[in-house]
Amino acid sequence: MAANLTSDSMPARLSSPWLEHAPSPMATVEGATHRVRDINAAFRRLINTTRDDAEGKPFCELLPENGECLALLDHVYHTGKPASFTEQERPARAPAFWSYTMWPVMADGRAVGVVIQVTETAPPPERTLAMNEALLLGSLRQHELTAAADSANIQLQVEIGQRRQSERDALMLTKEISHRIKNNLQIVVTLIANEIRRTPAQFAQGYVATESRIAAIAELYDLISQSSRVESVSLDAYLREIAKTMAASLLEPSSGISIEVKAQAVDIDPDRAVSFGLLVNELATNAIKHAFPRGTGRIMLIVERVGDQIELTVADDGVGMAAKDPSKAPGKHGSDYVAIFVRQLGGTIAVSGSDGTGTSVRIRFPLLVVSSPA
Amino acid sequence: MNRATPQMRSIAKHLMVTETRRNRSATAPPAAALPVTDKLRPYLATLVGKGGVRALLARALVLATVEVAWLRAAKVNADGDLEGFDTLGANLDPAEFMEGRVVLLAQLLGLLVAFVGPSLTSRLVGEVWPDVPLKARDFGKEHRREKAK
Repeated sequence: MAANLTSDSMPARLSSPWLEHAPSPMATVEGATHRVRDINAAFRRLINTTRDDAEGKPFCELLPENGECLALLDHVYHTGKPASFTEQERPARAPAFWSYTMWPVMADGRAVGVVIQVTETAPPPERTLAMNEALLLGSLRQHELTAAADSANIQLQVEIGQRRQSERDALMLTKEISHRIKNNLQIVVTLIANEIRRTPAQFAQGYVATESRIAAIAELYDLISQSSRVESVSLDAYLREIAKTMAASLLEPSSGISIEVKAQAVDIDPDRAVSFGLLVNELATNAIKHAFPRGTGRIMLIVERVGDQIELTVADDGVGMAAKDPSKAPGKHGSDYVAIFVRQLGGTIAVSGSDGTGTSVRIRFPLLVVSSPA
Repeated sequence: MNRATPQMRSIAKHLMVTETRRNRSATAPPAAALPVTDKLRPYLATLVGKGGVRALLARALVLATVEVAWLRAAKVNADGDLEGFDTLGANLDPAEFMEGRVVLLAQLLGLLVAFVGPSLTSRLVGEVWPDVPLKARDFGKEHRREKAK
């Protein structure tokens, strides 16, 4: 890395204009006393001096600490070999830490000067220490916060566990209560059935209707007692159970009337499930009683989701509306149970069909009912 | 977040025994209650400042107190000195006293490992106790940062 030149060209080369704008602090020194020949702008900024003040002075006088620097300059000047110095942390701290590299300027086979390039500077140690301290304090704070978060997380896990246990207990209790309600309702159904048997057929219709309604409610509680959740009721399962119960209680084994269910998997809140069950029971019972004078036919119970609503359809292929007793058509009288149940569901009803083409009753009600705050 | 792992306790105990034995020599001044911590503190202060040492010791003491209840009676003063150990040492069983100090030192070393890594901690301990072999100050492997994928 030595620069060879003649004695005549040396002064010019030691104060080359290319040095001035070099990004690294650089200087050239000449002679055995290492007098500054040239010093660039970056170096002048580093040691806060001017060109006039620096040039001509022994280089080591410009430095805050000059022991290593002088030794290294002497070494490079006398041996003609380049050298580098990397500053390490020392007990006696200089205002700035420098690392530098030096190489000789050769003329006629001997060193006449040295080029010095500062390769690394570091902030004063006080600032480094303050930064270390600040970083450590920050780390400790983070450590404390992490520990606090861990502790809070453990507490939270415990609370979650307790709540889950409470939910399991509540579910078990609800299922147990539902099971007992179902049993009690079945006892009531049995009592009514006994009354029906002891009552002449022409006076038993009211008992039969009541028995069917209570059985529909009992089915709901049976479903809840067997479900793994209590916050909603599966309408498709409920509809199938109602159909099964109605077929068993209202249709003779040899009956030509069939009840079919076609249902999508949709849920309803338990509060409206009773109204739904009673509504299905009422409409299907109505169809069984009035749509099939010849004793044969088909009743379809359909549940499907339509947007954010549920649509229940009770349809038959019987004699149609005109042939039925008008007073039995649902929705015509405010006191009609059907109208009451539709209102409780928050729904609307539409009846269609004509003479000989069967009857179709469609009820639409919201999928979810947002409960108002207590 | 217990930093007093068996490894830290082992190193802490080794340092405690080494330093206590040294202090028993005829020329040594009377034994200090916390010889290791006292010796480590000035070195730490040159790296992280007095405030850093004070905070580090205070945190180590809080963590050690979870395991050693009698350490609640000790405290770190404004200068970063641990106070109360002379009185505590006089009233405690020597083995129990030693155990508490080992846990405190283990927490301190554990925090250093957490913040500056095992290599730097080992170098620091080596500077303070040059005669402690490298094997006896093995703080484990560096946790390397995962390369960004």
